[in-house]
Amino acid sequence: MTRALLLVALLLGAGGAGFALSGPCGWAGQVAGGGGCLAAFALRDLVVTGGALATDAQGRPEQLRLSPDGTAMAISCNALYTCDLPGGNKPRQTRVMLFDRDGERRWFVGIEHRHAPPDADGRAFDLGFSPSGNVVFAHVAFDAASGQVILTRQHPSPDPNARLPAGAEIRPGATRLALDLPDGFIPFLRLDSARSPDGDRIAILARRFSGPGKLRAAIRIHDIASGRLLAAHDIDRELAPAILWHPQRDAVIVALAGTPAAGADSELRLYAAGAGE
Amino acid sequence: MRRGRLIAAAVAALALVGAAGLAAWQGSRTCGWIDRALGRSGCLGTVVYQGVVPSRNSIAQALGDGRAVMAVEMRTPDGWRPGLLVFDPETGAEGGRYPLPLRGGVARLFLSPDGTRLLIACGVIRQSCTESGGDAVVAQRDDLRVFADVPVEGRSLTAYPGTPTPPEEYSFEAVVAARGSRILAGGSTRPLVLLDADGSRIAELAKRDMSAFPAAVSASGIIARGEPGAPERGGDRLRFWDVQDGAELGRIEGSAGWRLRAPPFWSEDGASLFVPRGQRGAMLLDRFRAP
Repeated sequence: MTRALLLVALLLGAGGAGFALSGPCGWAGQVAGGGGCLAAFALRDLVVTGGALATDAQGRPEQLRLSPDGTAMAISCNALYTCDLPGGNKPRQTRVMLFDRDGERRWFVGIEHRHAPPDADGRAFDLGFSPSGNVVFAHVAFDAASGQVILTRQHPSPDPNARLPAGAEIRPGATRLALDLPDGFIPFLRLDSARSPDGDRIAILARRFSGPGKLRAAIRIHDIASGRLLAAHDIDRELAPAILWHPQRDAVIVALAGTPAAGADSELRLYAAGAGE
Repeated sequence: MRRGRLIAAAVAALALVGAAGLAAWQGSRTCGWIDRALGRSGCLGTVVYQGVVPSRNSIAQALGDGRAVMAVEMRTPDGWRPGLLVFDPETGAEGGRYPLPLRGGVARLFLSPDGTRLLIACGVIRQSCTESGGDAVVAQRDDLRVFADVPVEGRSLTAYPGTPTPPEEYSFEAVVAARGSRILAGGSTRPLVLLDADGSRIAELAKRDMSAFPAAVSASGIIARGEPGAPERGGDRLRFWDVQDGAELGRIEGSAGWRLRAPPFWSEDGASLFVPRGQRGAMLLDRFRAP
């Protein structure tokens, strides 16, 4: 009897330790279904097209964007969101790089802060693809194939990922959405968002600005037309501002905020966008 | 065997004596537990705010309800960023940490006379710091998440626009005190002087000192200033004067290593003085009883 009790206690302890060590997005957390996190992986292993997009990039991405056909991925980084690139991370530039579906880096460029000064959140411009995927907008317009500047004037990004002013109520279009965040959760000035590929849903990422509190970030997914809340994830880890809707899965990709330093890497996580995942 | 026990006991005793000495040394420093127990410096306690670093120009602004707000650097997921810390300095309770829509520099804070709006202006050196290139934003005191740009005249704003301010010739540091009956001018580039409302000098309080912090005047009429202490002491000091006649009321000499990080400020009733210090990415707030 005593041995059986000891064995049960041992198993419970091992299970608890395994969960604690692996975290809510670790193996034990996924078995338990905790936190809605589906997967954790590195930027170099970002899965976007069914296979692994093995980039040669490390870092904490500021913005992640996929081309409309899903064959290319653009990433921006700056002094806060580091990229490991040839020549290192330059503090007075926001850097943009483009990868093809095999993970080969086609090109990278730096946009000087004196040309595109970052705002109070550290963002210098909105990164995006043209509807055809041939042009990357990053303060100016770049040819997606070559990385050459094709329009030197500042160009508004047509990308559906937009930042929204943080407030009790947000308006992604005509609909008003009330963000259900706990009392005392004060986010950054702006919320990051990503629209689903069909344009019907919006994923909103709210990150706690600073200070104590277990909840560090929250993802809320709403139906845009009705405003109905479809999924809510409360996350107890600090996140970078990047959020991306997975092109094949019903899920969004976010990046953990590592140390803001050259050589820092960032773990990506996948969160379910609805009941289907 | 016995000799081994004796050595072990000696080592343990030595460790105990060392630990006791260290605790006594720590406790006897300004705001340490012995200092507080004996009431030597008048320190009543210290609260700690992790992930908060004030600067020399982080002047606390009372919010009129017992709370105060400071513009400081805060630890965020994106590194250290400028933000507003709302807190109750008496209890140490936090009322929130808010991001600032400003690019760099240390903001100056001014509460409107009716207590409903907080004006947040760029630092004196760095102007045009708002995202739209302006020099100041305004927010509701009870909702520091929504800001609007507001025009301000001049870079040497020392009070909420529309409220009494000293004439410009008294320099950017001058403030009106004692319900408009006194002007406190200078401090860093000029001597700290006390003037009456007509500009007649009452007293020179201190020599000019670029390392000194801006003085604060309590509701009960006491001027407090933080400044470097004597070099051999290795700590900063606080000095107090009467706002009516400029008479010096006392000093607190900080122990070695006791360094201010931001200007001291008073509780709204003038009963307590709060002194911000820094320690490894945290702000320590020492509370002193008024002299």
